[in-house]
Amino acid sequence: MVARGLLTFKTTPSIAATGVTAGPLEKKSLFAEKFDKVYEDERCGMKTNEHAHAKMMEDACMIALSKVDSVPSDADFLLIGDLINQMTPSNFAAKTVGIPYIGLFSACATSVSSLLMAALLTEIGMSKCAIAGASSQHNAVERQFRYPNEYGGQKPDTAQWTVTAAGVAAVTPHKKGFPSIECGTIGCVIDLGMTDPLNMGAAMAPAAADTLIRHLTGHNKDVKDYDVIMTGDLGKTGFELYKILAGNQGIVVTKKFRDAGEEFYGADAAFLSGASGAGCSAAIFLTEVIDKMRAGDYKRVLLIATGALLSPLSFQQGDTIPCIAHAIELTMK
Amino acid sequence: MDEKKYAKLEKDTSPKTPLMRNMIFAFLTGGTICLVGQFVSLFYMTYFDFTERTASNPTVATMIFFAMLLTGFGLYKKIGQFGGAGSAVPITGFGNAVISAAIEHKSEGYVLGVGGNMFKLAGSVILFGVFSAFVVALIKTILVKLGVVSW
Amino acid sequence: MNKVTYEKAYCIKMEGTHIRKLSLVIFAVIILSGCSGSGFRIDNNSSENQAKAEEVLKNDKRLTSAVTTFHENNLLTAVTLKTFSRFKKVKIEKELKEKLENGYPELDVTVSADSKIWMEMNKLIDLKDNKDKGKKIEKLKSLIKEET
Repeated sequence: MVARGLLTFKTTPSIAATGVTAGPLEKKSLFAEKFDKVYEDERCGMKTNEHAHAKMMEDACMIALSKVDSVPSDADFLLIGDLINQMTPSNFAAKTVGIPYIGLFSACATSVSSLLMAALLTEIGMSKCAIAGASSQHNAVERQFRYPNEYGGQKPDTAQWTVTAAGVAAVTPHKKGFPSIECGTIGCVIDLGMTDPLNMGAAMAPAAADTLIRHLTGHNKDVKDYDVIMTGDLGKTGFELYKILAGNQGIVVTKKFRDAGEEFYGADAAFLSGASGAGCSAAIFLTEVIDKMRAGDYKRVLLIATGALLSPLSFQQGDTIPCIAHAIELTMK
Repeated sequence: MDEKKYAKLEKDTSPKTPLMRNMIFAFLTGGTICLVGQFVSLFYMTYFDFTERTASNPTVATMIFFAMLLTGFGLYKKIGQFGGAGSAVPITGFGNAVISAAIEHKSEGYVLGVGGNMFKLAGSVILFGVFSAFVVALIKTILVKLGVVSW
Repeated sequence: MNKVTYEKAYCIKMEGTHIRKLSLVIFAVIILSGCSGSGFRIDNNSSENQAKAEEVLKNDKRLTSAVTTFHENNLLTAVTLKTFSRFKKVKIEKELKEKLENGYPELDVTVSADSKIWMEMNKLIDLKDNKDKGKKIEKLKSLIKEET
């Protein structure tokens, strides 16, 4: 296999700080206590869901900056994204924080793609502090992709629940004692003909498996090298499929394999297949994983964020759901 | 792995739709909604001068009012998740479709938001309802004219 | 953060209790509402012979109850039907009306299978004095004709 789309960072940029904010429903999450800020109101006191979405992102950025004793004017780049049309929530958040900004869209994989971009900018010495992350807001996203929020349609067990959360990381040149970004893999768009937007896990699983294999072969790594291999938001159904697909390719699937979407709300059946959304992977990767790395529990982790690159129009016109997965490898030395 | 193989794998691993459970829950939910409707109808017949036939109009209005309250308080989607078709088929489901869209688009203003999007979901119900009524009436008219059936 | 754990515990504790209580109440309502009266009642304060009407109504297997009143030149009958006969309500009303008109050609016959009329007729029969009856019967007749 030709090694394409592989990134290796010689300077190993570090994730110096994280900021994670979440909505009130996310108190039910198993990781709720690790979030920096949990709002009491799902609109964060704003007028519309979209404003709340922007506010959440903005607060996450400010929290991350304050943790590295910085103000927005100290940061060089802002690389964030979300799922809403033209990424207006991120745009408005960028307007408020006033950091030079590029909006990134890889659907729910934005959490990792933005980290990779930030690491690249740091690697080439153009950035001393780059803010990277992603967010999603349940009401705003559901409204755009599915039905109105209060509509009483029955969702199948394969459906996932978009989380209300924003997670950003401050990426700086290598800092001792902080998780650093060693390498990454940019995913290919994989589409195995899934068309059901209420079963996104199944659509995204092949992309995740593909990126996993490309990362392992491309960087000459083995599953044994990692303490945890975490996927973004495959949910219960997607995660099962992903494990089968990976197993078919000769990968030994162990307990190291975890999925943020599946674990986000625990075993609560009300959330059906689990969590999804750009905020889901961002929030879990930047709390649970980073915290454990800093505590020394994890030495080397592989994070694979998956995204379904569909639009409401594309699936209504009967198109399949193209999916992408980006991988990033973090180490703690 | 090609698409066909994956589709099969997906079908095998994804949780099956619990058809029997869904049907029973739909039956219970739909039945309960209709029972409430029956009580409302009975109420109008007992306390007002409505006959069984004329009571249907205020009953429908009242049921939609209930659906509005439930939708506004965020309960109807829970009923919908539990009851499926049982909560979608009665008039309350129609009300929910209209009201949820109205609530959703309030942020875009009353004319272009609420007014323009209120029937986003329910509009097709109205269109095809009227159309199928027209077709049925047309068929019956032809049959009556041919002398096959009477009105 | 303590609040989060507290709320989690509350959620676990309360899980499902509301719906259980609710379903119990609904069940009780369904069971208790299963009873209702039936029978054939005739109220005659005119000089007509009620036997013919009685015969027509009692011999119809589709009826579960019938309330009839003779008042001046009015013959008003309200019937309740067996569940599946209710689909043919209009037809049965028509048939009964024809039969009764045959028996009482000189009376103004009205038949209704509407439960509102049935309810009102029961009240009407129970009335002690006959003063307002004429007026009330006229009102019922106009109610039957009402379309919307």
